[in-house]
Amino acid sequence: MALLEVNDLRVSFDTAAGRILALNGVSFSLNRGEVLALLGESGSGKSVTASAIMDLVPNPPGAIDHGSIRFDGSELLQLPRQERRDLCGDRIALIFQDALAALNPVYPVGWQIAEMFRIHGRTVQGGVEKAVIDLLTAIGIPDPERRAKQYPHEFSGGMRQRIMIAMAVALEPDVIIADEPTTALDVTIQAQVVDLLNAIRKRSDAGMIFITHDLGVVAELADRVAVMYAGRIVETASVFELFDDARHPYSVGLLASQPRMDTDEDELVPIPGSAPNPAALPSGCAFRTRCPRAEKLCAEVVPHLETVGPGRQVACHFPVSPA
Amino acid sequence: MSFTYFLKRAAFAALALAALMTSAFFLVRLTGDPVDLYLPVDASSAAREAMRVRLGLDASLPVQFLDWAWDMIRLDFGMSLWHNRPAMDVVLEALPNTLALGAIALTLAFVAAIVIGSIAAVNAGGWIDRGVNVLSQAAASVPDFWLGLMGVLLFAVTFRILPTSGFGGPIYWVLPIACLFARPFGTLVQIVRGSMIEALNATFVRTARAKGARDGRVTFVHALRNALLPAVTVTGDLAAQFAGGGGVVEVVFGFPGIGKLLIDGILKRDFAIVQASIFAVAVVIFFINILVDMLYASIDPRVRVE
Repeated sequence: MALLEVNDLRVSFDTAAGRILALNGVSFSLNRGEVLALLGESGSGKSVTASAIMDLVPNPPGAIDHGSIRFDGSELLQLPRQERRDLCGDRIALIFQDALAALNPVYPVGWQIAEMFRIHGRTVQGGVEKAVIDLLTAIGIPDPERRAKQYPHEFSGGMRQRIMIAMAVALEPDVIIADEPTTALDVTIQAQVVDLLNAIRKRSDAGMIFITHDLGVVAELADRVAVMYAGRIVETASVFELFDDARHPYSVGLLASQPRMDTDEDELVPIPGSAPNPAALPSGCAFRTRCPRAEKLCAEVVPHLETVGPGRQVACHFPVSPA
Repeated sequence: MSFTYFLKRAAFAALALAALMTSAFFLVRLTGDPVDLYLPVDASSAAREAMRVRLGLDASLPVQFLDWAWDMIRLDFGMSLWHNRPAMDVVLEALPNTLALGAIALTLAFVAAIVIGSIAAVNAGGWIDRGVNVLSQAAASVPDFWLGLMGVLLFAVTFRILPTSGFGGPIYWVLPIACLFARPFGTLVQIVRGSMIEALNATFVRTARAKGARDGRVTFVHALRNALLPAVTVTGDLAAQFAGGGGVVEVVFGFPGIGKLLIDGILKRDFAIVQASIFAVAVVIFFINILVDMLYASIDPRVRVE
């Protein structure tokens, strides 16, 4: 049985433009020790998926309308609020994108890491103080005793993101959700942070959901990829299959729009048009207005995820044929 | 806050104080001649002249000013004309009453506003929030003389449980404190509510939730400390106003504070009392500002000066 299983999740938000569907039937599963990349452009529903798992969808205006999130055999959406809260941080942890905004500016970083132990009533051999110093050492912060007493604004962007990671993994969670953890960082620092995150994950054999729009990071880190578009998952595949043999026209478009070292193609091909307005999605397949393969059927019937191979699913009436 | 920083602040404050006292010197002399007020209308011009000489008002204004400046440098504020005692002694009797009255009213208002403003912010848009909004708007906009008179009418005249005015045991403090409490409370509730709503929507509050923190901890440990700065700023401003005396409230209740002393001093053309009051209040305001800065630094590490 999968460690985390999300099934037909639907989340909507009340906005000035009316009720919008942020997630429109999202399903995926995550196994222990596996890295699943959620890939997609801004507004495709990646972060909302993370919020739904962490019980962070603001209500109102947001609401989880339908679906299930099973974690380690229990249905999260039916757990009492307090029990769900207790799982957060302890067994499922979230790493935010912008560590400067995500760390509390008025408390020392050591205090914020130690809070993880205090909230969940964890005692550790040698004391929480020592556990914090050990964590800071493990993520490569020099002079950890002194740095633990400093405040977030006294650290560089890369260091702050490392602290965010140390905090998230402090209690060795079973699932780590990383919501674009490298987007706000310099390219040189990005690689270091990704390596660190992967090393820490491997040590505890945690499953990880890595949310990103960066195909380079996906190639380096992920085992499997779920491509999201307009609140739906349109394709799931192993990372090799996706790069070699993408089936959904959107996945193909994404790959063609980013530079690659392993092909002779010189030219980058952008996907025409822009992401659809979530308050007025096209009928049928939401991608059809930008899709080179769209036909009449695409405007009439919503394509659902169909299994097209072992561990491979595509939601498209006219998928790109196997290479 | 380093000692050199404190000295620098004190030097600037001394300059400002010198300018303030100089303008006070000229302004009180614009209120009129005390001799006209204290001697009967039919007093002889010899008697008038004798009093002027006694008060040092016979010399030309520049000479008076130099005399006065020399006194100020020695912190000699002269004799009160009305009380016939050293003016600073009279001021230092009234000042603690005002400071105690203001401190109690403001502390109560601050604490109550934090609790009620936070509760309103957590329930933003709900009926609790709307109730708090009406209450705080009313408290912030009711004039204190009206509140004072209504308080006297209700509790002193109708129910006869509180004294109308005067000074003595704790019971004499109830109505003045209640009147001074209302406006700061109303204003601070609005400010705390606004900054708490902002803080509760901040990403670091999401982080706290993602860490598994319970609601109370999220609100009062993570959000509140970030929301405190605006409330501290406004409280500092209000404290500086209150240091000058509860004004109308002190007069309405005959409360012997610095505000009443100052107003009486002006009406009685008691120049020494007016100048000594202004000086004492300015020094208190200087220390209030230092205190506010220290509070800032202890609440938010980002404003700490190295």
